[in-house]
Amino acid sequence: MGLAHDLLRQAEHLIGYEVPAPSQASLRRAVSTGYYALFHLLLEDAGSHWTGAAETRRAIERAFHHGSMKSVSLQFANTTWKDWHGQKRVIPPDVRRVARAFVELQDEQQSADYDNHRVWTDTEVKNLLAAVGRAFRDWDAIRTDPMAGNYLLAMLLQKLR
Amino acid sequence: MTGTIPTQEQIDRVALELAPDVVRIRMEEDRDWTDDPALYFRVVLSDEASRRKPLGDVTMPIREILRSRLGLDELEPHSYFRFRALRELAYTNDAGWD
Repeated sequence: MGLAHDLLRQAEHLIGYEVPAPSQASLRRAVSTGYYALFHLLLEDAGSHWTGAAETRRAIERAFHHGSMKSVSLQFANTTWKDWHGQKRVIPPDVRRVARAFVELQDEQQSADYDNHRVWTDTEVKNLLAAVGRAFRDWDAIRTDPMAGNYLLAMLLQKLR
Repeated sequence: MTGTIPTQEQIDRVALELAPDVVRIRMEEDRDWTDDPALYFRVVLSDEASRRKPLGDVTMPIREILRSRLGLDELEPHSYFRFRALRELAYTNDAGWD
């Protein structure tokens, strides 16, 4: 279990320990932590493909940026993606669901962290964490598929394309 | 991307199909935090449906049905789905969910 799974468990803890009325602070932190769980899941997986020095692996993980991850996720939320040779490729549903969840969670994380006027409810947050949990399961099922690798690589190379 | 933005009438028909778990669904065209076009769906669940565990067994199928019935994958704006229980509307007092 890496950081990503720890963060998901922490997010679930945050909405459960003040039952029946979680505070706004806990609900907001749960959304933000849920997003970072998914963020780190993708980083950890990208880093795990590197078999060289640990220092280089850490550099790969640090090369991911929230903005480019979102724009690439918007591309991979679609049914097809134009590959490295300009050919249209079908994106497997599991990859699309992960990409959609990433876009959604990042938007909600921004709101949870910076929009002080929004009131959060237990149901809203549980739904978002359900989306993160589903994305974890989808990623586990698809992570060895070549298109999952393309998704991660596109995030890393976004600024170069 | 070839689809058209769904009307409230189309959304109401899907909501009716999803009753009694779904009380109503509202949609708003907006921009997300990076200024990309977005559709925000606000789904009001019955109190009974909102208490089922895990909640994802209720909300995930609703998302998929909305996607397929409304052709959301054919649209440029990304779709966001927010869920609240009917009882939660009393204290959130948010017109976007009415």
